[in-house]
Amino acid sequence: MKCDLPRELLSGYLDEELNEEQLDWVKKHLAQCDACRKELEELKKLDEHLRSAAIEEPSREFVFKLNRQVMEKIRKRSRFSIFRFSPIFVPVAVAVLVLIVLINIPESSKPVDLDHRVLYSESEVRKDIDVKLPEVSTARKMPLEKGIAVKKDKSVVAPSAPIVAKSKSYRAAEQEVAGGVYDRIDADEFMKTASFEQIEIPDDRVVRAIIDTHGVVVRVATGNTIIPERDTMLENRLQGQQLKPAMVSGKKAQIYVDLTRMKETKECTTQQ
Amino acid sequence: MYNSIESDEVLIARVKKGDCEAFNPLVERYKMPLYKILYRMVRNRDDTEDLVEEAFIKAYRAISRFDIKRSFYAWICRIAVNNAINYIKKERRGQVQSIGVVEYRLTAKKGNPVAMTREKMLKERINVALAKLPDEFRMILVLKVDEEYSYEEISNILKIPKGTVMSRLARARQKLKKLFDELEV
Repeated sequence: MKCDLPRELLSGYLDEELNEEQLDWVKKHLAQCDACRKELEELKKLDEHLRSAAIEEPSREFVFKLNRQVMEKIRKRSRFSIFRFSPIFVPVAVAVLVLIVLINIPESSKPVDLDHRVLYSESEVRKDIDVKLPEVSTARKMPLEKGIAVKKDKSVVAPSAPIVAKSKSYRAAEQEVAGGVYDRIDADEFMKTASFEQIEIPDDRVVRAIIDTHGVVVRVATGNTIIPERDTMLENRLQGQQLKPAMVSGKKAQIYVDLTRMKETKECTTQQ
Repeated sequence: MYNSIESDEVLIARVKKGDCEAFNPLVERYKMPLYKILYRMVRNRDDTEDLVEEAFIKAYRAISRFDIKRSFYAWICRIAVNNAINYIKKERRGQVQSIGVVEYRLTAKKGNPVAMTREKMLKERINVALAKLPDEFRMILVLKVDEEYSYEEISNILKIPKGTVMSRLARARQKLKKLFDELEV
């Protein structure tokens, strides 16, 4: 009589991988089929032979040198990837790099922060400033006065304005400026630019902008007090507008420009 | 220097923190078990030794993804087996099986009862039968019979359906049995 039990089920029975239905079927079949019982025994023996199959001994190099070979490759890899396992190392390394870069940035290329507002705090100071404006491509006479204040001795001022504003009165700051902390340069023509021609500057608000060393407007602040806040809407309109870069003592300088339509003044400062 | 009695967890924690030297005891601990598994699959000493080394390097590279709560041996075993499967598929397609077949026949025909005890004969027969077995059959038999992986696990390792695991194992056993019987002197 030919046996109708699928061989998969016999193998699965040996591996104890059958479901209940299959298991019942195989058990009932084995109970009445000598051939399958015999084959099952042979498969069990085959598995035992398989487990006891001889394995060729590894080489002496493998036994004695594998560790060294693996570790050499690992060490080599580790030398080139010191970031791999240290989650703290990456931010620390990035912070150190940023610090190094910042330290090495020339003073003149650091952005002028809107907090340098202390320079504008006293109109008396502005009146005293000698203004020297850089050349501009398109001239338009602004009906207001303009000026540039140039930081003269950074070692005295640094970290400069914000601290000056906090620690000293405006009068003291004014004296500091008058005492030579800042150079004064002429800036009569500075505001005569094509860019500024198109700017609608509110009459009732303080408006200031930062011009970078390439003469590009980078930030704009407005407000109805002497201390304006950043105005992103106006900034979006003015940002990227190109002026001729301001030159101070033969070097390109960042400029902090006061665009306010005030009665008396219109000024700007630069930081070298 | 690391004490070899330190647990896998302690050593792996150190490796994860960047101390690569802590990986050395793990290599020492698991190189022979891995060799045995891979040899059964590959049936070639030099290839097996290379594959064991590769398995350790791959495990080290992936150690940051290893869940320390799991068994390191099971994890590296999986890496080694997968690597061996890829190797067999790519490098050994169509290659001739071990020369052990010829060696066995020559030895067996001499019929030296001292040199070939019954037990040794059986081992040689199974070795030769295994060597003649197609790679896909040998791999699945090693995973099931030697390593005792479940059908589910084998299905994941070999990326084949569970039903295929069952049918392939049945065919592998039938084929091995046939080869084994043919070698009876």
